[in-house]
Amino acid sequence: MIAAFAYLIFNSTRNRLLSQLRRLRTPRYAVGFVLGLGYFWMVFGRHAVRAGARGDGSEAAASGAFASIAPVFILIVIAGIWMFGGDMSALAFTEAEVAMLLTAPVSRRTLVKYKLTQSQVIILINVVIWTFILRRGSGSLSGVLSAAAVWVMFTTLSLHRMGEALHRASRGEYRAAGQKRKWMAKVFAMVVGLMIFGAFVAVPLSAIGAPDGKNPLAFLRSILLFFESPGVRTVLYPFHLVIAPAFAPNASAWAVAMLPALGIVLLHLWWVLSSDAAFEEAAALASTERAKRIEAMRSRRMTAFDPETSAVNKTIALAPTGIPAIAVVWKNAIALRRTIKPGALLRLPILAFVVAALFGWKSGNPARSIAVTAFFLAMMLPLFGIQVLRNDLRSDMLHLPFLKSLPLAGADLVLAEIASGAVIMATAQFVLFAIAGIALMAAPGVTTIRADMLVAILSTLPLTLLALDGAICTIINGSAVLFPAWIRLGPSGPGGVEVMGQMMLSMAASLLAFVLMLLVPAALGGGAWFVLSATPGAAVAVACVLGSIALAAESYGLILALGSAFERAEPQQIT
Amino acid sequence: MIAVRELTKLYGSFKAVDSISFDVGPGEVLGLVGPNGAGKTSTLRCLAGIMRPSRGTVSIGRHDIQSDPVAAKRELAFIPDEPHLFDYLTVQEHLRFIARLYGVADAEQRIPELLAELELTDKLETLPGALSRGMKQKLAIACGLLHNPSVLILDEPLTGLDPAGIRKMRQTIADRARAGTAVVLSSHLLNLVEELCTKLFILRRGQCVEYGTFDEILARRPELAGRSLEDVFLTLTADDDTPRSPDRA
Repeated sequence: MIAAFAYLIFNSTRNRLLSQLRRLRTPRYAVGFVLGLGYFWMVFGRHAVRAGARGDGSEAAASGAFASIAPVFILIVIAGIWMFGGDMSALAFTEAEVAMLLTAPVSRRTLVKYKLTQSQVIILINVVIWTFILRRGSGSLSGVLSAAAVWVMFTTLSLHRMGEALHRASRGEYRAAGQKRKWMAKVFAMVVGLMIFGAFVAVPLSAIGAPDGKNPLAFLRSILLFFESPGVRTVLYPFHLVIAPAFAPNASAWAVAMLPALGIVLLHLWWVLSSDAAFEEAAALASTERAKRIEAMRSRRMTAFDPETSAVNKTIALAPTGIPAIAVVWKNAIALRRTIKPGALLRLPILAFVVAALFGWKSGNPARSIAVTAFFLAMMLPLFGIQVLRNDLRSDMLHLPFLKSLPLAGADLVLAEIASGAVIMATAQFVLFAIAGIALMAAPGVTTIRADMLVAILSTLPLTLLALDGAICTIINGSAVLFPAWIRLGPSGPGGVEVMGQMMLSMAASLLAFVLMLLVPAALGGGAWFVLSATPGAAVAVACVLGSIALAAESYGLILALGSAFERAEPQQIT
Repeated sequence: MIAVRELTKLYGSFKAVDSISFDVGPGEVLGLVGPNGAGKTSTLRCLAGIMRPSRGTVSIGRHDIQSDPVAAKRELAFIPDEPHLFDYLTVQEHLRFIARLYGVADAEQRIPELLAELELTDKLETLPGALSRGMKQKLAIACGLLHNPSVLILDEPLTGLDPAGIRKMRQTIADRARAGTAVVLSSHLLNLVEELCTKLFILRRGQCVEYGTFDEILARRPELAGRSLEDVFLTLTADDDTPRSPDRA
């Protein structure tokens, strides 16, 4: 039986790699692969070589800090497993595995062994990546020793996850095990609570320096010292044992650290193999949960939306007659309402504003910090917003046969899809710019903006933003229509280095197209500014309006062309 | 209502549909049959304006599907074998969406009637993800029928339906044809074709093997007289069971 499982794991892994290699025969993946590898080299490889060559100790210092923090991370991960118990992916099987393995004449223990062996494939991939990263600061340890140390760390975590999942599965069968889990959860909650209290409350707040102070990151050192204190080290001792080999300074220290770490792995293995849980039921449940989670993740959704259980929020009214293309905007608006929770979407900006206010308060000018943050977020919104708001042709091209059977001209449909994203982005950007403006006016020491300039900016900003975001959405939707094979259509897609490189390539091409689109509007706007510079308010207003009209005209021309291209597009082009 | 002339569809050098012609008048039901990869789906997609013919013309009513696609599509409904539904629109919202696209002024009245006819009334606020395969197919059918099309194009319309749904769908197709709708139906269920279709179009390797009423075909092929449609089909399409590339030609 073990041979059959080994055969399954080996062949699945090999075939997956082969299919990825075969994909490289397609030019888009080949170019993407080269770019993706280049990116990895820029991020990790180049620095690793430099760190080895430099040997100035700065990387080693960073590694020391990481060694102090790593046990806390492991504590948080394990505590999360016990306290929330939401992740049963350690037991999750694919649909094919559920159908073929759970119905096969195989014992529970054999299935557990299969899952353990299968998890090693992912662990080994992670070991390669993390060994590469960790060795940047630990040149004295050989690659093999580093890899073994990282393997111990990941295997311990993996076994712990599976052990907890099996215990949870047995809760229904054995009440005592369930009680034990609750007890463990309380212990972990207490330890984590103490760590958080110690690190963020007991460490004096005064250590948090202002961003423009001499040492803005002084508070981080204070937190590190807290984690290094004897009491905390004692509490975190088991976690230090797990990570100790990875941060050993030399081979002999590694050997000494490895013995207790391996002991912990063996203890976990015994724990997992000796558990007698309702494995099949738990595995089936975990598989369902995993399928939903993966679907949500691939959909880039802010919440794990489940069509079977989630309440359908209120609809938006739509009259049965009128401009037909409005129906497409309506559809996309409803999709957005159901896929994005405003709370989740606002979390990041709110956090950014809180941090800005905190640092601003320390430097004595919170309004200026908030203004800078709002301005920064507004500028960055098109870049990231376009990735979140995929309620356009990037999703709908997968419904091409349906869309093409509708009585809509191609240009009307493309325009509706573009408007769906552009209006939302422009509105969000306007709000952020308004926050920036208000905060800036409230900030001390900022020169007051002239009234005519203020009126000019406020009156033309919506049009300008709509033109800019419309142009961005036109480019993005245009790439979905013209080069459907080169961009990710729909919520999910294949992964890999080549896909990442492909995304980088399409981003660069989009950026270039946007810059080219801006040339004429910028020239017109600049010309207007030059001519009317004696009256700055009028100059700003005319420059913005002229530039926006020119950009909108360019976008409209492109939309007409894209409409024709959409009408010529055929389902077999969507791969 | 439907006039197809010399329709040819090429995928690169591969000829999926090879110069076929046929007419479907009001009230007629044309059965498009052929083995896997014969070119049925390509033909239907060209008829529905989803794909552009490489050569030839397709007219829906008085409108050419290539030169006047919007007007032509307003008259037709295409119901594919695999329902294309939007993940985040409920059953009712799908129908409202379609109503707006086709300008169905009496949608408020038509939607409940259709939902009742297709037994979807209690699924009004349900998203497609929570519908069974058959329910999804029923919703796709409801979307197709909402605007009372004068041309109905159906690609394996019974896929996924339960026995009651199959009976209801057969009845619906027959009723629509009686009301004057021109229907083109592709199916491997030869008993359905035999029961509903007034004319047959048998495709093999993208080419027309036979076209006409069952009696006309038998008159041209006297050696097949007295045999069932299944026997006729298997004889006429012999040695062509393997699917051709590209997919779903």
